[in-house]
Amino acid sequence: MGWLSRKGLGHPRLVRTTDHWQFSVLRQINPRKFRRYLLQAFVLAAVIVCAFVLINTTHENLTRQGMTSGLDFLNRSVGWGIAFSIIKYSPSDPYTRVFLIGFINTILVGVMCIALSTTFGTLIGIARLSNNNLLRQLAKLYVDVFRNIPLVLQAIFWYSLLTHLPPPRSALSIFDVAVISNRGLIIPSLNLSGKAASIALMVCAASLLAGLALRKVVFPGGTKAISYGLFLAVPAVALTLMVTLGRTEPSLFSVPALHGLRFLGGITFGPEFVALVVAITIFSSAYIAEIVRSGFLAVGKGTLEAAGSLGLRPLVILKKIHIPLALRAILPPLGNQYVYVMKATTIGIAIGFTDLFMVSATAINQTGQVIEIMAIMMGSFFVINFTLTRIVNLVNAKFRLKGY
Amino acid sequence: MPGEAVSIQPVSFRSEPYRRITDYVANLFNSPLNSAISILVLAFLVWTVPPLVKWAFVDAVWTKENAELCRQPGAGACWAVIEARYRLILFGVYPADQHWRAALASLAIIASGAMSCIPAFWTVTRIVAVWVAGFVIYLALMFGGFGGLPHVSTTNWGGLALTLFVFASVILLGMPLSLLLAMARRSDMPVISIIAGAAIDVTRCFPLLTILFSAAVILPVALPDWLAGDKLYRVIAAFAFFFACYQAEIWRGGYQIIDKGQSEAASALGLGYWQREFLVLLPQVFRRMLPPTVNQFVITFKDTSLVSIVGFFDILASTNAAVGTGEWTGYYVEAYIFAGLIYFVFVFTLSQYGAFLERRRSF
Repeated sequence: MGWLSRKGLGHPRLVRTTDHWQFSVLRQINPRKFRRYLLQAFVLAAVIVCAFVLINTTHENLTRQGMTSGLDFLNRSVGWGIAFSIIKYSPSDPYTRVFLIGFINTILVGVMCIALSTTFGTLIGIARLSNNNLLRQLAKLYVDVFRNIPLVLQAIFWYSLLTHLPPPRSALSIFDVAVISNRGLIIPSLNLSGKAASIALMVCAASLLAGLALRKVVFPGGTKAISYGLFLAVPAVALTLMVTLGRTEPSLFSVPALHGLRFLGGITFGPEFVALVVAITIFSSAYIAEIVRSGFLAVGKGTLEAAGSLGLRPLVILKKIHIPLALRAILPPLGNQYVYVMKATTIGIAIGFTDLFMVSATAINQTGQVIEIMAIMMGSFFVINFTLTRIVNLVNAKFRLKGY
Repeated sequence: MPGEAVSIQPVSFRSEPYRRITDYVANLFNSPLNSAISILVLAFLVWTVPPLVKWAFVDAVWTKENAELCRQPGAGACWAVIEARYRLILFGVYPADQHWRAALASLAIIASGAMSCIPAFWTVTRIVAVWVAGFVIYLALMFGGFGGLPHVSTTNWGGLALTLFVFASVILLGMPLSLLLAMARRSDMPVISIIAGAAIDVTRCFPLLTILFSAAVILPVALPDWLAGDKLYRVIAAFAFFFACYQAEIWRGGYQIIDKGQSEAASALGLGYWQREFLVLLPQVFRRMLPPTVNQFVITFKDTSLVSIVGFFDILASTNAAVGTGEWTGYYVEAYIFAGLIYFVFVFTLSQYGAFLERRRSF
């Protein structure tokens, strides 16, 4: 028997002289490897079969309901209104426009919340590290309260509070600049034509890029003055030009004023928008405060003491050693928090804010084009989060300690 | 030193408490900047706290017999709404005369959760026994249909009882799944590792709400009828998968901190794959990753409130209903504070437990 010799068992006399096993094809197969291939083939097959069943059932169900798949529905007119949009919209617009509005709204809320909660959260985080007992405990109270209550509950709470405010006729004024009522928040705006504003924005972006290029390519090192000058001067000139030439009204600022039962002038942010931004900002600030705090605590005491014993002054230590080292600990979790904020905008549906998710859910309800709309929505979120992660990783790589 | 008595002091992880009130006050004014900050903070507190206390306690209406006092001008918080509606908030639309069942069922889940926080229960058999017992009691009480208890279907479950059920099921289904995903991802078989990695990364790209929505609304179209099942189970399964994808990354982080020598030494001793994983690596991964895991539980508990958006009657939805219609419409602030307190008690306890585990790393 061949196996006896293979396993080294038994007396050599037991081995047959002609060992068929030696010439067998099966002998070439390593049983461990074979098992691995079999397992992988099985898993792959299972995944393919599942995907096939899902697609097939969906197709059958949709054809039974008389649905035609494809993206034709995108050109149909929508027929329902949208509460908040910064671009022009009417219910007769095609579905592409609705998805664009949802996309813009999601990014608008996300970016606003990221900017606000980074500022506010950093302040709270620093307050958490303060020597002052009262300030530190107040900051801890803030973090404990707002981090431990679900975001949706907070959003619904702020939304209820806003919609129960007095009507515009008896609106609350905030330092005579903005007004807040049950129709939302109205802040002053600039009387500028859209064209002037967009040209100025483009000039600013171009000057930033040009400044960066100057520093990196034309004068690498040593000429910060030129690039910083360009950074600041060109946008300043552009803004001045825009303000003087692109003005649409005699006065530059448009301040909200009561006319009859409603306010005219300024920009109005509806209660849904304000509640969502306030809720996400408050919630996310509590998280960012903890990120900032642990980032500063992560810098070794020895490093700071070493800097002190070298004779550096406290402010220099803070600027040159403490903050740069803390930033390295802060940036990765901060990036995750930004991605979280972008995803958290979806809870706007609980209070009726028309973000990408709500638009998609309503569109599915209206058209029944489940697969296409889900693909559009998931694809958009993928693009947003992927871009954000890439940016965070780039910034992260830039701040990483050289040589680590 | 030989002969010298060495006293071992317990290490305190908290900063030294201020023994006397004078120390505390002295700290507030020990430098010009500190004094300025203290004065500003005190001014803020004087501005906000007294009106808040007046509203919440002094002028508050506490019993529903005095409910008409709530409508008078200058009335404070109307806690009467809680007394009138707490059953709706806690148990949703569960039949009113059967509320004791929902209360006991919730207690069973809470007891299981509390027991799993005790290290004595951290063995596979004990933890499984605790949770199987908890779930059997919960399901038996909630469904009923035996011994004279009328049957109640899942559509009538609600409030805190439903929130706890969703949370516990998501964790229980998600934990084994997360281990499977983590092990698959770090497998040296390319097909398995790529499929697991893609599933985890793609799922993590999407907001939880879109995934719950897909499970509630879109899966019935995509699944064969015999597999679609109850909406509650579909949503819990999708939630559990989402949880598992995040938890799998925590396990992966745990695997990465463990020295490679551990795995190599185990192989050198002749241990096979499963022995290596379950006897050598995973026990270490579990211990190191316990604090982030508890943190993930905290996040998951808060995220259970999202099921209200896809149409379930959890605490959030039942609170909305409690002040949505009828005589109590104006008192939403009190009701939301109550709901927030319920969440706070659970989430804060859990997160303090996680912080406690983090402090005593040496268990």
